[in-house]
Amino acid sequence: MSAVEPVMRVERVTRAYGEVVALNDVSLEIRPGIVGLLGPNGAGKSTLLKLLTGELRPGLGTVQVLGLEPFANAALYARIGICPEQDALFEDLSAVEFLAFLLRLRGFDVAAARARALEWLERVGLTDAAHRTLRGFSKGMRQRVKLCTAFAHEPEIVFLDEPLTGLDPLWRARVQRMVRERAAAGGTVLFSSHVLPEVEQVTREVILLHRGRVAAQGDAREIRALVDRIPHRIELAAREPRRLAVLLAGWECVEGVRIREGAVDVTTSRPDLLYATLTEACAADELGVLGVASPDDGLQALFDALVHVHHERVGARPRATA
Amino acid sequence: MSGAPRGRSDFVEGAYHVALLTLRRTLRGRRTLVALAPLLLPALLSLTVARGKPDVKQEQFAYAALSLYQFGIALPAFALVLATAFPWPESDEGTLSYWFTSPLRRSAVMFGRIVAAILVGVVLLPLGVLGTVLPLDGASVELAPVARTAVAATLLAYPAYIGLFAAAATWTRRGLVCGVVFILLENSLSFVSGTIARLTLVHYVRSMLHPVASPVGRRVLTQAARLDPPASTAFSVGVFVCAAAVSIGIALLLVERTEYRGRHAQPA
Repeated sequence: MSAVEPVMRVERVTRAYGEVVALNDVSLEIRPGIVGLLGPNGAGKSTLLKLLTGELRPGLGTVQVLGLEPFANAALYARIGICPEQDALFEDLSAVEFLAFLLRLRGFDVAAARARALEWLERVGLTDAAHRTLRGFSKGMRQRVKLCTAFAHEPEIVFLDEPLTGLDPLWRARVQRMVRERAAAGGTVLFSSHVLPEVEQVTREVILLHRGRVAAQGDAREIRALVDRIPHRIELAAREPRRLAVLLAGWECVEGVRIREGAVDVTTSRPDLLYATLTEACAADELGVLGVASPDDGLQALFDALVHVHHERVGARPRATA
Repeated sequence: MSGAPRGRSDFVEGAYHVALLTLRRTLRGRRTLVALAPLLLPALLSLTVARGKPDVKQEQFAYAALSLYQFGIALPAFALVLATAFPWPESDEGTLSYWFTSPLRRSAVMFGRIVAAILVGVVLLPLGVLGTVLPLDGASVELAPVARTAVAATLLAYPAYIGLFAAAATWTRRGLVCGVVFILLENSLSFVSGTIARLTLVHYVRSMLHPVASPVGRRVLTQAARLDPPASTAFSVGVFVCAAAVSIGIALLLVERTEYRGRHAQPA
């Protein structure tokens, strides 16, 4: 047990939507630094994040963030930043208006809010688009604006729900760097994703959720061995799918490629290596990759394997299984 | 890094920022046009009526259009469209997170939204009344005090409608449907003479027109709008103030306690 005090505490929390139990008797503690929250769709990640950010109330149990109960707690919101999963922005505002408004609500004066909004839009490469209405932004641009809303006021805790969705490999790497910088500055980042390599690139500390329960919590390396045995599928949106498929077929870490309209599906058992190689190749602009998506079938397989292993032996420090 | 926050926004300052942004967004948005359309419909009819109809008919039209349509339908419908835009619809769109995870009390956000809706009404509602009256021949002399009183009645009653519909929209996702039912019910009850009619807001809006109405106007109010007996102006104003204060208070209380889970939220 670490000597550092936890910044978030979840004790025996159960939360249901009607008859569907989204979280079932979940207990965990999160200490400062970067923590990955992993799980396939429907595992309860978003519900847990919404409980921690005070958008939902627990049905049973208690949630504390920075020693405060989060539900509708304005005092807490001054100290946290949130990048929500849903692709929703104030469409009729420009990017700078939107960000500056949110900063105004956090106590920045007009000039400081605008200056900081522009500064952050520059950091995420949106200076040229800063004065355009958000309605016309691409998915990747919208995601970068959402990330600004989480980071721009330099909160103590940042909650990121699938933050790399819609970003190209270059921006994925930059956002991961942003996350590391925030943690290096003393902040805490809770990074929710259904893709293990995404999380692994920023932290070793992970919480695995599966069917509303904590399947495991601890060092990501301990489950790495399991992942390597499981084929992982990655979808790459591309300008020229056929050319991309030919290039990828020559890579050692690629086991299979399938061309679809506007995209290539890649199968690999070394997703970490594939992501790293992709990022390098994209930096050199060799591939014409427009976006990366990772369906959660790989992770689902991982969970199935994890649950199987847990039944056979005590491994990867699993706490509970569904 | 540029600038530093002065600290958490307080209630009034926060509500002010919210109101300002909401005003800007509302005036750009389609919702305002939707709300404005029924308000300006009688203006088109007035232009038609003003052509070659005798003055008495025009006067009758002015009172009927104001008391039955503007007060009974257009005013509450306008309030309904603006008041029910928040918080459930934004919860479903996914933008509510930005409001409710800002360091403002939820009630401050709600109050800012209500203030913005009231300000939009203050600017646009008189257009409906003036559009109904001004095209008519007698507008400059006989109908001028009627138009002034109608504008005043509309603006005084409007916050009460906003409060009622905001409370409904805060409480249930089906705020818009509840509001439509309320408008239909209120109009139906207002035509029942006696105590039941006094339970409706529109009765008091119509009552405010009674003191300045001409004999023709009073006949329309009594016979067509069943205003018998009308309430005094002071009492009507009191009803509006109480209804607005209570309903806005309820909306602010409810928004602090209610959990808003948008349709996009996955039920695991």
